Amino acid sequence: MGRGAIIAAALLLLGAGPARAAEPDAALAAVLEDPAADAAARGRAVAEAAARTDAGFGDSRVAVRMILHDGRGRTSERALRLLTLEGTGEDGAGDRTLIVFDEPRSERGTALLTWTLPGDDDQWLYLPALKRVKRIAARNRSGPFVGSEFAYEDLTEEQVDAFEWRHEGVEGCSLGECHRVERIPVEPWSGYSRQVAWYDREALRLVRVEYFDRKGDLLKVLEATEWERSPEGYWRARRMDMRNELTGRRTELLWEPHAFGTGLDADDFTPEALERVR
Amino acid sequence: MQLRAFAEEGTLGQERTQPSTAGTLEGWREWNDGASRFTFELFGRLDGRDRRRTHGDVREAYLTHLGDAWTLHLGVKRVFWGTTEAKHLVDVLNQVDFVEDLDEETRLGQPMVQLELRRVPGTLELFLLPGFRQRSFPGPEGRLGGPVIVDGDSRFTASQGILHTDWAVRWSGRAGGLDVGLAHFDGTSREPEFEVLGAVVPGEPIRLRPVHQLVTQSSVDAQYVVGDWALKLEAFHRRGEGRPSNAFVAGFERTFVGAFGTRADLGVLAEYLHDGRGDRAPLLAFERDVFVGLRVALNDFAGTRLLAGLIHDHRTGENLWVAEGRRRLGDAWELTMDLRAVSGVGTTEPGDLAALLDPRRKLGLIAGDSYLQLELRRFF
Repeated sequence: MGRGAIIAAALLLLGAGPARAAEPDAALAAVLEDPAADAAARGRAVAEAAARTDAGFGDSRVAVRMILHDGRGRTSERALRLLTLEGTGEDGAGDRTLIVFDEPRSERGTALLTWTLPGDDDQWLYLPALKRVKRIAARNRSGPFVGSEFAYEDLTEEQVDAFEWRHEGVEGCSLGECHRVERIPVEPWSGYSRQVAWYDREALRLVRVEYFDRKGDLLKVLEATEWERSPEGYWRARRMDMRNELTGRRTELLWEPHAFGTGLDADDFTPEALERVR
Repeated sequence: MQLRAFAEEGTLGQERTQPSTAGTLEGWREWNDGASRFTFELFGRLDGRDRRRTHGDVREAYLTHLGDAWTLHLGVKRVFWGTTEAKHLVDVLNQVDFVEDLDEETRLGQPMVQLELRRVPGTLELFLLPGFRQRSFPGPEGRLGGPVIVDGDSRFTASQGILHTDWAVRWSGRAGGLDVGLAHFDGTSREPEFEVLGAVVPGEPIRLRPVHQLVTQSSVDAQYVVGDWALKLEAFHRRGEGRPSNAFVAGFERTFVGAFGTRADLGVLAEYLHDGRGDRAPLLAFERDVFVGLRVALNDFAGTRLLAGLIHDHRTGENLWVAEGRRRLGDAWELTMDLRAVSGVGTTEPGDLAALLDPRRKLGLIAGDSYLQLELRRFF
């Protein structure tokens, strides 16, 4: 072994070198190493790399239990299922998501269909008692989702173009080391002035988000834990906690394991298909 | 469990309270790897006052087969068309279960063959509707019949009567924030006209027979969503009831998310209702009315929601007030509140045929039947 190689190995061990090994995504590594890339470009590169870790999943199904805490000891539960069809990317078309309610039982069969699009999403609500499909205004995304601390916009696909990004460095987090990225929603109807997000360096998992309200105050903190890797190689958190810093209310999301490639297609994600949802 | 409390005694001496109990049983089963499915929903009500409101209905019982580019439904089913809130003009396939509620949102099951074709573009649906369901009406002991009793079997202009097979076709599509449905219906009108049965005796209830005409109806329903605004339209052109007629409802809903800095969502609704049949329009029709309403969703644990509104006829001054609220009690219970109240018109008295036929008093029929209803529901 030559002298140069020994020095390089030592540098790597000390973590002082260009830490290529810590960045699993080559394109992200290239941007982070590029001295000409500013914080905006570096932040966006993190988001794009995170989006790439999920590419190719096709479709997924997952059941989730939602536990609402009012901060005074009272709780309430919801049970829902999320069906997702990966976006084609054509004309910027993002994922299509179907949320079906199983509990509370009075809401059973209610379903919410969303087509994620650049700009305003398209959204429809199915009311089983009336057999009626209602189109919903996009602004509804920023209100509390079924009384929880989650807004609808916190639950859907993170679209890279929905934010302006800024890389704020690397720091410790619950999964070791994380990229700390500030993101500012582009859409005027978002409930937030800005967010700070932590993506872990190893697999670009979104482990923590701080949400700041329109006045600029810290409103909510999201933590995603109990990460599991599916056989297909996609990381999913089994547990999420959203805490409202202003009111003390919080909501837990307990996720069942995701099933991928379940055979859903575009015909399952139309307003006409909502009455078939079970 | 439902209790209706009326503001006054009925014009035929009916009680001021009306307790009843109802149940719904629903379920489904699928096979053939999910391509085939059977869906059913059965409904029944026991009414403490009105024998005719004690009734049962197969709301749904149908087979579904999912093809590659098509879906076939066969059996008894309910299908809703429309976008507006104050009135459901274009929703024509199912008969109204009128004894349940006068808002025309509770509907009887209709036998049908429904073929949905998906790759057209948009969606094309073809309906074959064998058999006619008669509208349910309250009996002499019941309320919301006012001073009249709808009696006997309906009369039809179709020679096959109740066995006439109707058909309908509907295309629906969307572009950006716009959803559009175009439909054509050919068959027996679900909306009855009435003829007087027997002699009219002052002080005695007038007996009416429903008459159903063969009509064709072409309709459009559309909704355009932009930002916080939803613009809504329903319109039809109908032939078969005397002169051809047009009717429309058009309006908007503006949503305020997190209104007044709270967790609540607030919606403001306004619609204009026009019925070109004018004075010929049936009782309880809205020929030239304005609807204003308020929708509140508190986004709390109990999912508390309220919709309150007023339909006002600016020519006659008749008002129909409606309020519908609901909140959950724990996981399995729900409490609902419904208010229906008429103002601006005097009650039509029994035997007063002139008042009954007066087009300026279309709500006079139910003016004495204003009520508040509380319902407790248990889900299993």
